[in-house]
Amino acid sequence: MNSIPFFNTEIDLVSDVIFGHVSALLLGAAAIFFLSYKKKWGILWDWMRTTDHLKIGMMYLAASFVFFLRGGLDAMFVRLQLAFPNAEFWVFQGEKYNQMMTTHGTTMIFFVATPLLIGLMNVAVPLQIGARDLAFPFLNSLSFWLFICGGALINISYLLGGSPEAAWTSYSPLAIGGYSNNTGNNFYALGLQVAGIGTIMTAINFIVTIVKRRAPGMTYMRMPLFTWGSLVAVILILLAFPALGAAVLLLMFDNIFATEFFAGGSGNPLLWQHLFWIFGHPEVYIIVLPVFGLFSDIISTFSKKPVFGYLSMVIALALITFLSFMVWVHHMFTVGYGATVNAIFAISTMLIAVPTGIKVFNWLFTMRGGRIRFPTAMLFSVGFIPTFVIGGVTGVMVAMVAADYQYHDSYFVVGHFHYVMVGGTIMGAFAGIYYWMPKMFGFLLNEKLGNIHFWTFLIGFHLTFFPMHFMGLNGMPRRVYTYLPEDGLFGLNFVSTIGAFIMAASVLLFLYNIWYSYNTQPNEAGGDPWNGRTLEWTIASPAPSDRWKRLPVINHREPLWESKKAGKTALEYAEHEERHVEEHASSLPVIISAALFIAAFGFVFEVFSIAIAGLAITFGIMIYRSLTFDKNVEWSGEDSEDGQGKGGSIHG
Amino acid sequence: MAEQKSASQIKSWTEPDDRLGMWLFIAAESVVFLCLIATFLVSSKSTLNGPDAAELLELPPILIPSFLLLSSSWTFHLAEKRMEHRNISNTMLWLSITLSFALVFLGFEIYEFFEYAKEGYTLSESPFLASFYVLVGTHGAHVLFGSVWMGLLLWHLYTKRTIWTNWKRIRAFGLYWHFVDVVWVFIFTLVYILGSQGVY
Ligand code: HEM
Ligand SMILES: [Cu+2]
Repeated sequence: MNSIPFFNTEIDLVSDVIFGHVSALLLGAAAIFFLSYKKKWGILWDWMRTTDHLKIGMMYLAASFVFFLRGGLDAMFVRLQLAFPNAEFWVFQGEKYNQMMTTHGTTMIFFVATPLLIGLMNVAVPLQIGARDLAFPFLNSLSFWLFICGGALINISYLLGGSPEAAWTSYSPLAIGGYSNNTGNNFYALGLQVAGIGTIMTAINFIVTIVKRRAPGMTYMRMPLFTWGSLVAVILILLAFPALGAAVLLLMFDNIFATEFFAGGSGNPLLWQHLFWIFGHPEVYIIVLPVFGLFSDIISTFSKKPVFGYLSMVIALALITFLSFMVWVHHMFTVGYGATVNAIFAISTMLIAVPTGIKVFNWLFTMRGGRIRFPTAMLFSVGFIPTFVIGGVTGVMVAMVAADYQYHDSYFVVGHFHYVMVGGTIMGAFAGIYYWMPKMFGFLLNEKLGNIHFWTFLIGFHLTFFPMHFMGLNGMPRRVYTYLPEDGLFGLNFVSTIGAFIMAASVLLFLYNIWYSYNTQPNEAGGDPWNGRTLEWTIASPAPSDRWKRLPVINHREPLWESKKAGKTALEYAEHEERHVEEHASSLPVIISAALFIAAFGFVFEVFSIAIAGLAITFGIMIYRSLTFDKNVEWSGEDSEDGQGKGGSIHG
Repeated sequence: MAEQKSASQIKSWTEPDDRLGMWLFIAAESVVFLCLIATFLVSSKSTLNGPDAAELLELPPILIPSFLLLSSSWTFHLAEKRMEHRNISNTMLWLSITLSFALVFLGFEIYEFFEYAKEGYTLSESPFLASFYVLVGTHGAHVLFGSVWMGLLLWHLYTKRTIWTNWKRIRAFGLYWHFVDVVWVFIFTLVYILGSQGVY
């Protein structure tokens, strides 16, 4: 086999890798050509330096969608390989299958589901609470670029010596000591470390924003539920992602510095499982709580009714947040901790079904007696409810310890978590994009195409994942690349693959819809195209860059609806523009992220001169940032009378 | 009316935001340290051919650096108080003392690591040693980071005196520095005291 040496590894010149390199080159060349031909470099550079929450939110959505296509491509390879018994699709058997399956899972969780929601939060949360921007706009930009940089690391691994192949959970000892592709494992550890740091900073940013930057009168109990869902999700991020950070740090030490934290003999493989799932279980709530809130907002808008049981919705969110830190061992029932431990964690897991059930009933009661309309955003919301209920029911099934000994590591589980992650997060993201599209771009997406998109997606989705439950019950383990004709699994697998193609077509249709609507829809959606109720619909579409000259004064949970009822055309606004700091655009976040990318690259290939150089640049730029901070911010708004403010007294 | 005014003044001030941000950062960092301490506790018996905690660690040499690090919280507090009274030169004085304590601590830790390495007790010897180095080293990295930060603070104070950015910088750094100290209390107790007494 031909291969070229690359640092401490080798790049095999086989068809799939060559294909990858060629397509990366072609895409890169096409992008450069397009940017030069249309003279868009300047605009690109402006966007890269922006600290504006709306633009950053749109970039999050766009980038996560690109990763979604990549993760989706991996899923198609997986489904093609599994379509027939004993199939040999291209190279995707054995090791290569594991690489596809691992990249699919890792990409989908960390670079699709999580950032899609962070994107929606960036777009909507400040508009929903009347904040001028996030509390730390510079940090927001940095978070975004760290996410890009981590995603890039995971994505180039296939081209540079092989992807991680120890599954998205990266269990040891498989993931260490040369049992699987070491370069890939390093890419996993470093990519997640870099992206994870960015995600934690996002969490800090959103908590401070929501706690400190609400418009006057916007009390906690007046916040829209999407903001509530986002708040509890970022609290989870804040407390869960550091555990992942510690875990991948130790994983990196095991693989690069020959320690044995997780080694089979002297180390402790279960330690990894604990650290991973202390992060991992909250993560699944991180990617679902914001969409819970989003669906509440959408269902209320299109039912023309306030959310039913607002307070119980908030309490349910808080309960889920609290409980989600006490259930992680349900991923480890088969480890053998014994009946008592398993029973405790089984019960805490089932408890989560209670607040979740409350939410489901509240959505139904919100619709009851309402004047319901069904634009695409609402279709996705209504489609979500039964889908998520199925995922929730199978969730309670796998929480029953004795039964879980059967379900564990079978396709039943794969079916279960796709019902909640695709049925919840991805459908939620689609709903959110249809809903807030005018706030981002000023036009609505085409509803007819949207309808087709929804129905094909829903049908494709159930065709793909419903059969997986039965595959699992019939004994098909997850993470295997084939099965035998006599296993009786062909029919189910074949249906699943057909479903996957329908879903893929549906996603492409969605992309087409964006392009089509961009060209045909009138750019005059207006500030309030859906007859909305909450604050974000009081400002123009697309949201002007100077969002609130004077902050709105809120005196109701549904300020817009309330003013409509009172026959008023506008809200009340504060008397003057209060004094606040504004952050200018900055190229430093891009540079810091690039430097960290270099550092991570050095660690992956164990070339420490590169790693140290990258870290040195990173810290150098941070110092530079500190020294130039004063030049990059500006006070704006009215000065208060007693001379406080810039250069004034140091007493707050 | 008067009340409304003062509320908006506080809003225009970014210091409380920075402090809240720093508190949240500390929450995240606490999780990291909890995980590393847990790792230390579960790895502490896995010594292979290397030394165990009682053989490796001695209490007396670490006492003075620990004392200095803990006092640096106090000296920093004095610096902050001087800043409040707009006494910049005294602020800088106390901050320099804080910095020098941190540097002595750091110097000792580097010396300690080198001594162990000389005896062949390296990271890859055993999971116990690895967890010791990673836990104590991560804390040391925080002290180093804080020291560079203090250097920068001194520079800011020297060049710009009492502008609002310096005040918020000092306040945010204070939280960080006290946190680094508190972590050391835990490491000192769990690793050095219990370790040297042969508890593991
Ligand atoms: C687009 C349609 C999708 C299809 C056809 C699909 C298909 C699959 C299949 C067949 C597997 C099992 C691979 C194996 O066990 O060997 C899998 C695993 C997985 N999928 Fe998907 N998936 C899709 C979308 C998603 C999305 C949107 C997410 C998350 C938001 C996701 C997250 C995962 C995860 C975490 C795994 C586990 C990977 C592992 O075991 O390490 N998938 N997917
Ligand atoms: Cu879980």
